[in-house]
Amino acid sequence: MSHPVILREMSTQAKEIMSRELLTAFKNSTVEEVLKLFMHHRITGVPVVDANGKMIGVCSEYDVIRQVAKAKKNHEGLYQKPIQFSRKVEAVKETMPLKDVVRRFVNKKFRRLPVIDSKGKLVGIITRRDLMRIFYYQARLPEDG
Amino acid sequence: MKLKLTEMRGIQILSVSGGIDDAAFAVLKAGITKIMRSGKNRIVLELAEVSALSDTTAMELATFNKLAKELAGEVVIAAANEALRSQFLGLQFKPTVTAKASVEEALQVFGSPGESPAAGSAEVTALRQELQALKQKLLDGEKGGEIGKLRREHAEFQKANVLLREQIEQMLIARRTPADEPGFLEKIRGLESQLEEAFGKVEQLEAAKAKGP
Repeated sequence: MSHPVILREMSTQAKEIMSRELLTAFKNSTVEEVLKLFMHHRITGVPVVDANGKMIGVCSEYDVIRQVAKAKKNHEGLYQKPIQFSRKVEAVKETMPLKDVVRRFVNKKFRRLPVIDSKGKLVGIITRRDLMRIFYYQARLPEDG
Repeated sequence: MKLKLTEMRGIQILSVSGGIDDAAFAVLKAGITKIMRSGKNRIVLELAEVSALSDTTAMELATFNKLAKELAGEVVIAAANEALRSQFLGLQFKPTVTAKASVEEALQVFGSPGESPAAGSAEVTALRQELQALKQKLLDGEKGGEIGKLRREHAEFQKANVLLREQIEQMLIARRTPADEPGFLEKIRGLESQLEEAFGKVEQLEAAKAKGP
């Protein structure tokens, strides 16, 4: 699959386009805490990190819905339980070229891709929305003027 | 002219030091272009030492603002010089460029913490996350750190304590057996002979009773 728009951006790396303003959850975050993060910040998922900032998974709206749906009863206590989240998560290195990042989004239909440094520490996140902005501005503001 | 780029709350702050002539503006334009091409469209342009701009330059900056606003972003000017701020207000260009006296004021255009429930909750969220991190560290520490080591030692002491209690119990039972066994037997023999004597007397009394008065 070719991405002619992107191939011109060989030098751009993930760290240049990622959002550094990170919202994260911990493995012992409660369903209520994560739910409020989603609602207040209008996001659909958050990376889950350990105490050292190392990424251990992602908790999405889907995970919350599944956790609530699987419970025998929808009661207040359910929202004080630790979140269930997906531990099988793909992240990209901060030095990954933009074209490879785009390829991942397109081929695997990711909604978001966490960005990690060489030690596995979460340093940023790239969303579909970020990519759309990049595409638009790269088209409207050509590098050569 | 020198450019310095910093980031705060996801907002790019491009600080310009020195004046902006046509040549310098070409560099500034390239800088803003690079920022926007990387998908960042929430920009504060700090023009601390600039007192005036050419109309063309101001229009170009207004064009960047228009482009940023197309995707819900904005280019806000932070300029101490009032005349410069007025210059942007007087531009015959829509949308108008917002110009503030300082970077702090310019940042507030994008919403400051505490201004909206969502922004306020961001601060609370940050604090909660900090608290969660500390809790997590404590838990991890319990598993492998100093606290964990102390807890394990405590558990071992408790086990040892139970064993010692059992040993003491056994010793107490053992102490119930007379320590001086031969002397004890002698005492029993003495008591037995007293008992035999008592039985003998009882028999004599019964025999006397049977003979009658």
